Amino acid sequence: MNGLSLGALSFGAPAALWLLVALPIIWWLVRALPPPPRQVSFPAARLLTDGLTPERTPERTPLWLLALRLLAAACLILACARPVWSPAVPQGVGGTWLVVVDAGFASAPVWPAVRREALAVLTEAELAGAAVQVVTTPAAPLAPDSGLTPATSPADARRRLEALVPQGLPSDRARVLEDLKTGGEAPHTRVIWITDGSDLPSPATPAPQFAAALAALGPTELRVVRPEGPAFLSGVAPHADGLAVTLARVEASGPAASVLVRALAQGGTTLGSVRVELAAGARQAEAILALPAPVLARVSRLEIDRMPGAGAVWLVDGRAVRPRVGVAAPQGAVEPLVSPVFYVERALAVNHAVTTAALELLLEADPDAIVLTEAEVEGSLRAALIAWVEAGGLLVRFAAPRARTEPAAGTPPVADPLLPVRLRAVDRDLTGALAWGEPQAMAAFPATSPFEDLSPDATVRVRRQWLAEPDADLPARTWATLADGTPVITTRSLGAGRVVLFHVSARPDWSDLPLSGQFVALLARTLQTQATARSTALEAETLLRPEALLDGYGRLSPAAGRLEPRPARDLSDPEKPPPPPGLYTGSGGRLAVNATARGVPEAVSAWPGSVRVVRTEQATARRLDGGLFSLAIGLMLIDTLLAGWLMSGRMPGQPRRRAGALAGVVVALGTLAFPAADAQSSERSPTFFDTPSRRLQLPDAIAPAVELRLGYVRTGRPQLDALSAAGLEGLTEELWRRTSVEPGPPVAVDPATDPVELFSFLYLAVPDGAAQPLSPEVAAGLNRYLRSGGALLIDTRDGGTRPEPTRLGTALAGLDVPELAIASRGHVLHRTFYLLEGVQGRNGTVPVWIAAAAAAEAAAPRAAAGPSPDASPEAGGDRVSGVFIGGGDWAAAWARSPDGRALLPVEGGERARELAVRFGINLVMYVLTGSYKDDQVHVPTLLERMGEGEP
Amino acid sequence: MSQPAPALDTVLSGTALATSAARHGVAAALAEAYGRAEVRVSAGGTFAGVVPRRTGGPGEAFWQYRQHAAGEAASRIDWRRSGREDRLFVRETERTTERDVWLWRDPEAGFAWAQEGAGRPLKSHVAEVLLAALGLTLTAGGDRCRALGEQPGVGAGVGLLTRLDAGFASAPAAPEQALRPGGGKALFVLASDFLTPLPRWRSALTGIAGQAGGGVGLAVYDPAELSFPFQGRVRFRLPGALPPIDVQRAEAVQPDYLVRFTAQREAVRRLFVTLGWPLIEVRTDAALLPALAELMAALGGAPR
Repeated sequence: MNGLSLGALSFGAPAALWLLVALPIIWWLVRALPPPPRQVSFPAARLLTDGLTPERTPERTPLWLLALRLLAAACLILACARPVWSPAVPQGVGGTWLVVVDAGFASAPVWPAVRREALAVLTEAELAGAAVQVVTTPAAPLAPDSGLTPATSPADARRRLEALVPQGLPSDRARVLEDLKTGGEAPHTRVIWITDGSDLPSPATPAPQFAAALAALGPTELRVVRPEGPAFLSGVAPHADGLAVTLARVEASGPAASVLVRALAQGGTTLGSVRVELAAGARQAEAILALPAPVLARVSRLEIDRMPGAGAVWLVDGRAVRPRVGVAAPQGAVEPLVSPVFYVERALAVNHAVTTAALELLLEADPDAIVLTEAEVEGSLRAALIAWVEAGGLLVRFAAPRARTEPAAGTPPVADPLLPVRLRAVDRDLTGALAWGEPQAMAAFPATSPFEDLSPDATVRVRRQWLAEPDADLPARTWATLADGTPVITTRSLGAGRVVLFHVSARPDWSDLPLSGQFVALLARTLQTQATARSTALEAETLLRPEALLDGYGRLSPAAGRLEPRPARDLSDPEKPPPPPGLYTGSGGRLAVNATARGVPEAVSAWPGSVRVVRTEQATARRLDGGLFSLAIGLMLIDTLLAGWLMSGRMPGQPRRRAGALAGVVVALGTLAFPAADAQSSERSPTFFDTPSRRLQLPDAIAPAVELRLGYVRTGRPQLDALSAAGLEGLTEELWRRTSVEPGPPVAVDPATDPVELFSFLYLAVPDGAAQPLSPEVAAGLNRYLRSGGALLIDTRDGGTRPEPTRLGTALAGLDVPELAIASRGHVLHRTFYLLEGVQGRNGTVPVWIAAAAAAEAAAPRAAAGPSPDASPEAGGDRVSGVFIGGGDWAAAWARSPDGRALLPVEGGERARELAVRFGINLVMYVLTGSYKDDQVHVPTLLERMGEGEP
Repeated sequence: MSQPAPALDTVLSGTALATSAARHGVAAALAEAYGRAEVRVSAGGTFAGVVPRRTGGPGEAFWQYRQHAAGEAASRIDWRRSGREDRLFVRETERTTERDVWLWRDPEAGFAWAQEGAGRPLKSHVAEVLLAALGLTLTAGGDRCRALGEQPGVGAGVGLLTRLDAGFASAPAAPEQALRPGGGKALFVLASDFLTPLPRWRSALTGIAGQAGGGVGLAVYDPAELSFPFQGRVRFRLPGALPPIDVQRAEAVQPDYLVRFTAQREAVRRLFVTLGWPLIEVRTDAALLPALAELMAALGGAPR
């Protein structure tokens, strides 16, 4: 079909334009549709019945209504003629066109634009009367044949392109070139490559080379649809606090941006989120997504908030999650400082979720690693342990005093599968009375060990150790030696698993190692190696069957056996074509293949001169029919409204004022309709970066004095401070919603410099890890605050039933805290607003410690005795506690994002979160009303006394 | 009614005739006002309460002397005349009878109409008032008045008016069908707007005229029917089952309507002229007393 072109405007179906001739008829028809007549009773009109042809001249339709209807009709006719606005399209190139469309995951964020571009090309082809050969990079993973189709009419190609969705794979251009060699229907009169303009870090066929190859086929035109800098998740690695998330953008540089990355559980629940800040000009950024170990185990995927595309999704398999560690404990309690289990537990707890239990229970729980501090494993347990290790477990053993069993002379020691090396029966003791040596230091770690980049702690001395028999493969199995070359950490793989032996005990009696800070790192590295080893085991020869695959938009759908199983080795082999991203399972476990496994695509900056690069804004041929159709429908809607208005009965000679109002309505509707039509034709590239969240700063010194504000003590740890801010913001929100307390936005306070006296309530979150004492200035400021009647909530965030003595002690050093007692259930804190049974924190019910004087008040009500004479002044004049200490991690429970979503999970679900919020409200109420509600507490006593007074 | 007479009373408003009691009051007042003015009308000698029949019979005026027939009652002999001759004479008086007037108000639905919102009484109400006032005046003069189709009866005052109302309400749509053969040479007063098709009137009037002693037509018009004051697109509803008439531009139809209306009016007038009956035209916005006087005059001048 040949089109009609009028300059840049062309029509796909110009025959429809003939309908414009009918406009005068429509004019006449429209005029003949008058408003309904006025009804009059007039019997004499019967004189007009017989033989009369009264003048059929209709009442004149208002001119503007007529114009409106004609405009609607004209729009319909023009739309039927399929008009196309194509300013830069060379006209009249027939033959066969080749259209290459990048449908990799890098195109997903801009897919609407890519597809619009492709369809526009087809429209051009339709106008030019050309056949079209379409090829996509990559082909759909479920269709093994190439993405190249024989030349078809543009209409057929349009059907195919409209159904096309981006793939989770990177664009595989080398394959396209191969396909074109065999299936290309040369000569191509025109080659159009619609590309996202990006390339994997080291592709087989770089994009410029591909463009040059295309240019050899025919005059080539490049349409680069490049989004405004999407970022992809390039890596997720385990970290001490949770997960380390790495983000990289396509552009080599760009403006500063902030991206929210969320961690999701299997069902889609958000388990946590972190904001990754991409600095201006930086390509990569990393952030730590802090998650407690039990929560971390539930993470199934991470994704960039509000960004489509497989590249914005990172599927998590076992490798990214810290291994679960079990410590085998002997019968009886673990004695602090005496039992070796105590040291191991403490060292592991820094980084891992640790379970301490008897060995048989551990084997049932099947952790990723088991630490054994005993010398021997007996009987059936031994067999089970061996089986467990061979199935892929990591056994970490420590030396221990053992029964001295003299081996029979002459028989070589039997190799124990649970020991990496053969051991001599006698320990080496360097400090004994008969020893001639000195306690030995550690030597530098050998290059084969996972500790390679660590330097040994020079203070560690080994006094006693198990000795390995010299063996040919002993050096290969050694991860650490003493200064004299004696192995001190050895290892051996056993089946799919591994055994690691520390030749010293886990107590400080044989060596200083358990006391050293390096002990923590050594254990962490050890556990890490096995996680890697596990996946390495998976990557060898195992056949992996795709279980669920990611589509281009990052949605996971069952693969349903449509894809052949592949050897695990193939999945990571850079020589092989990249596997479709998704979850693969095999006998060795589960492997997640992510879209960005081969790297994050990089924007291509230079194109060969043989191709014409067209900015999409110039090149796009825009179909106008859709907009015209919507315009016509909009006009008809307006006309219907007007007709309804006229139907309501317009009498001749009525004032014309309503017509003016009507014109206003028409104009308003028109302005509504036109941008809608416009928006359809010019979609903006989506932007994926949120504006950075507003900083919570003290706006000026007066604000807290003017309005009530919750404050938190700035700890200097950005994440903790942000969490406190979000938590107080959530609490503020709830206070507004539920109570008459209407605080302003929460404020970060530095007690050393800020006027703390202006605040009624301060929140102090004790930082994790090694707590550092408050600086003297801060402590002085807080003391001043407490003396002036302030209320301070100290949150140790450990959730424990007892505040951890050392951390809290360190944190509180320098603070004038009054004598503390646990707030009893009858204390007024539990009934200032809500009636609470206990205090809910993020990790269950926690006790709250308050000033003992205030706590005692509730326990022994003295309604008639008046104020206690010995009430300490620190407790506040009215026996109101100024200090609240607990481990509820309340800020985390209260924290909500600006759109109202809970930021962090709470143990016990929404009910527990609600109770935690109620505690917060009660606390603020208590702070603001003091012992006012105490009267209610005393009511039973008062009633009792009144009853006694009566005769 | 080409030249309306000067008003003798005020023009009635639309609601003045809404109830039958109001109509009775207006009719009585009209009759009373006419009675005061009657002298002037009677001076013309056109009115008499009784009509001489030019034959012997009961009456007051002397008619003839005739010979006493054998077997006639002796008491009838006029002895003063018989004394002058040998024969016996009987004195006869001229037979006079009171007139029998039949009143008919058109029951057609279209007759019970007034222009909406114009504040004028219904045409049928005006006709009823005039007929009632006429009836009162006639009965006061000794004539008998009845509504057409109603059983003969004697009444006066309120009794007459109530009887007339009932008669009007049950009036036959075709007046000629209500005539009983041998009903005598009665007078007919037919009130209508005469806007229904002409053939109907032609047959009705000729049917009546064959048996009646005379008649008067009373045509009542609403001013809107004379002027057609409509504009724009109008749907005219007609009474009964007639389909409505849509008119796109009423102002364009007006001349055509006026032509047809005048033609109908002229045809009706000619019909009455051929019958020799007077036709009195009344507008609903005109004073009623002149119309009553005209009616009475027309009746007085009616031929025997």
